[in-house]
Amino acid sequence: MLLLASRLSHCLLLTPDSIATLNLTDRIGTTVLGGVLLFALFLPTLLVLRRHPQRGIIDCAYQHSRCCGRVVCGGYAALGIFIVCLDILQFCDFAEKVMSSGLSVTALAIALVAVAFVATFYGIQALGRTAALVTAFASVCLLVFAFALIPEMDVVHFPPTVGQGAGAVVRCALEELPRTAEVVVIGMIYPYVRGSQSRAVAAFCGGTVLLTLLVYLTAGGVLGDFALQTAYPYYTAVTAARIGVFQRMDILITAVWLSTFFIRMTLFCLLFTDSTRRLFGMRGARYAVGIVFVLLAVFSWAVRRGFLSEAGYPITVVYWIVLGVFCVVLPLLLWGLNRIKRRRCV
Amino acid sequence: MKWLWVWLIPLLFLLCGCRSEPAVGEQVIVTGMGIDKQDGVWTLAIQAVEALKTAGSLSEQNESATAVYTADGASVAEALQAFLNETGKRTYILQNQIFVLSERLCRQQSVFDVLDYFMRNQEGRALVDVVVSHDAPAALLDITTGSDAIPAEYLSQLLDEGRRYARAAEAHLLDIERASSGMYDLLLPRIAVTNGVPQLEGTAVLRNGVLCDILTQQETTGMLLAGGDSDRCLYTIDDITFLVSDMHRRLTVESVGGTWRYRIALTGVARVMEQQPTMEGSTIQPEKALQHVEIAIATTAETALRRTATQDHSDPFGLSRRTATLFRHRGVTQAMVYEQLPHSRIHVTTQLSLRH
Repeated sequence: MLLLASRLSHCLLLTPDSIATLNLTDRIGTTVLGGVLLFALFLPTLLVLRRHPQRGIIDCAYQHSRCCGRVVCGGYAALGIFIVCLDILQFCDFAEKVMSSGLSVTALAIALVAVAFVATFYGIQALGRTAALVTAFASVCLLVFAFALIPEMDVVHFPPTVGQGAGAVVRCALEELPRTAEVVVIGMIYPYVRGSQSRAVAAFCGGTVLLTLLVYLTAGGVLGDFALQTAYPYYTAVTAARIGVFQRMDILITAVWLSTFFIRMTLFCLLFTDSTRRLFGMRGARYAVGIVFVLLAVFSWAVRRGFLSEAGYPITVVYWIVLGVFCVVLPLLLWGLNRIKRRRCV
Repeated sequence: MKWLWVWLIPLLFLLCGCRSEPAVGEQVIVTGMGIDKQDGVWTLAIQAVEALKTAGSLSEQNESATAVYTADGASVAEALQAFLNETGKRTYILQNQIFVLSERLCRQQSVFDVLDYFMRNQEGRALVDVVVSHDAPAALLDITTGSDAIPAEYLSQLLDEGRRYARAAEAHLLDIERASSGMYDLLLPRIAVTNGVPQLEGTAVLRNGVLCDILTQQETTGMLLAGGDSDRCLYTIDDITFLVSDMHRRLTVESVGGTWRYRIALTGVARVMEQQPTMEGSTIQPEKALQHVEIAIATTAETALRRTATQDHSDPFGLSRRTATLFRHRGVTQAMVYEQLPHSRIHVTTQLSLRH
């Protein structure tokens, strides 16, 4: 639920950048393939942690050697901050284009980061319970909007498939996949998963596919090609929803997005605080959080708006490197080291 | 950990509040907006609720509770600014119910450009009606109706009723936005004011957003039934009035010698609503009259579809897009079909079953 809530925040912001390479009809195939690839990305982490379900990936690294643990902790802390920075950019972009609250976007972003950092002190279980509520509410909202928008949908709105072949679909799925940064967090939250971890991961992948499909079908069915001309197609589609006398329900989707976004930001802040606590202890982690908060506040104020859309491709590349390191290389390395250690013991 | 309550303080920044919102007295609540352009000058007709006239129940008022203001400018945005300068009040467009575009303007300029300001503006609603006015937009917005204190509401109801019985095409701001992406062309309902009473007067056909043809009322009915946009209509023929309902459309596309042949088969149910004796005093069998209705619907639909496709080179039902979807395995694209559309053949058949 925690990962799904976090993933929803990205899924609701279906941006034209992410649908430009293939049209919405072709994207349906891409989404299903993306779900399968997503599950495959979890496998190395599940492989290394299956023998020790009570330990996270950082525990495994510390088990091997203190130095290794410190490096992994540092890597996770840096990763958490990197994703929070991207989230701040995303929030500023959405707030400027859509929310038009009249308040300073920078002030809003700083407030959000502050609340996210404070929320990390309540722990991952409290966040998980909140995420369960948020995910349930968001899923109901997505379904309600989809039904409310049926009168505005038409088969003709779905563009004819481009027919570029399976290669284009696979390429597009590979471009979209690294944006699911939640995969890297599984190493941290693994010990907290109730029941079968593999089933939980499969449920996350299935839920992601279903909710993404719902968003694609709603935005595509309502807007068609016009989806490519708007900043946030799903949000634009929802502005046309009408239930009885109620109109302009986009405020509801803004609230849903903010809730899921808060979960995502808190999750990655938690990744940072948890890693720094292991590195510097409780007292040191507080100082680190304070310093990083100030840096993030400066970042929110100084960063150029529109950077996110301009740097779309480089960010995708960085995401791929990050995923490659934290989801494939690191787990497989730890798995290999553990195996060697076990053999030596034998 | 008791100090953690301070996390509530940053949350205060997330509350929206009313800090920067203008007071009710500083803005006019727009219920309808007309747009015209002559000699390069844009003229806006703004139908706004008059606060003093709305005291008491709106349904008990004998006269309109709105006033129509006009403002000129070099663009729509400038005309709105001119309105603000003249009246000292901002326009609040969330309650706007209708955009009235003059026929003259729609012939000169694409409606995508005309409504560009409102398509970008996030304050309005996506489901605002859009109509083409035969007369000046201000004349249509300034009508007085006995039933509604707000003329825009009356016009919306007129359009709703027209859509139910295939007399008016459905056109909202959202449809204009969608059509601007090139998926299909637009049909806009046309309204004319006769003796102070607004009446549906056919449909404006647009190609790439520019008005290129006007369909008659009967052609509109045939067109909307054939396009699948409406499923019922009233038809009076041989002194018998039929309610035709539950219309279903089946579209088949064939590739014939480099062009396309479209067959539209309409099926539905007809009920006799009223039967009057003829001038000679004899009565006609409903079954026989129904055959005339079938022929009339098929003929008007075929005429309207052929005219829009071949003469106007317009594609309001996205035939080219549907064809490209069906024949994508042959490498057919929407643009290719759109080019061939004027040379395509369209056949409409109607089959109605009589229910007593």
